[in-house]
Amino acid sequence: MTSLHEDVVTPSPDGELLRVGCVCGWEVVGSPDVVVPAVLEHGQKIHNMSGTPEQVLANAERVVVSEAGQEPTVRG
Amino acid sequence: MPTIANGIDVEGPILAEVFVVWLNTDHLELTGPCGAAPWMIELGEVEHPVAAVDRIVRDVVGPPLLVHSTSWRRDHGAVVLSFVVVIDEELVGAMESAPIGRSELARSEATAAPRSIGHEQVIEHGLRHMAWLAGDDVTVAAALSAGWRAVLQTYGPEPFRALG
Repeated sequence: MTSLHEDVVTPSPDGELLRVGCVCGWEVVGSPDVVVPAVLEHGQKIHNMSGTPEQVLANAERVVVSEAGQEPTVRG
Repeated sequence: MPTIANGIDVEGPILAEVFVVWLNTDHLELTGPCGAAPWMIELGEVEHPVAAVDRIVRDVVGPPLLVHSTSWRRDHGAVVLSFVVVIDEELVGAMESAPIGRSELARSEATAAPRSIGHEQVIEHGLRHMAWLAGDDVTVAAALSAGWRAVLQTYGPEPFRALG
């Protein structure tokens, strides 16, 4: 069984994160290396959807953590 | 096959809306990998909808006891096929679960669909349909435990209600 409500937060060295949310409440936040495979796996396994890394990257929200400890902000 | 766009927003011409239901002692609960909520699955052009739902439920949750197609409607810009999937208690694990309340049905007009349909109404309809099948269909009856059949007796049909 898979638990789908998981957050993966792995900031890249420059502090930029990507965020993708699903209509079912699942969300992933992290570097592209983390977010892209997680989104593709979630979409295929849980919702029977296919996609490409390029589509995930094109539609992900860019999140910037300006300083350690601060809440990330969404750049759209 | 539909593609991922706008983050993940399940879309496509045909969707399955799966209600994963289990018997918790003496009442029914809704669960699933998306929590205690409808589980939306895109359906492709080739695989039969029942086979697709069965396959994906087996892969993600475990082997279902019953996969029952209950109704359809137009929503989310798609045709939505609704399924009640019965699972054994041992498959619930860490998935969110919540008791299923009762709801008024979304009733059609004589020649038109209901103006709006909530998911509580869809599952109410599905369980009433299963209640009827439990007494009429040997396959459905055999798939359900005595506890399940007892709970479904409270979902009996109300044949004259829509005519009053």
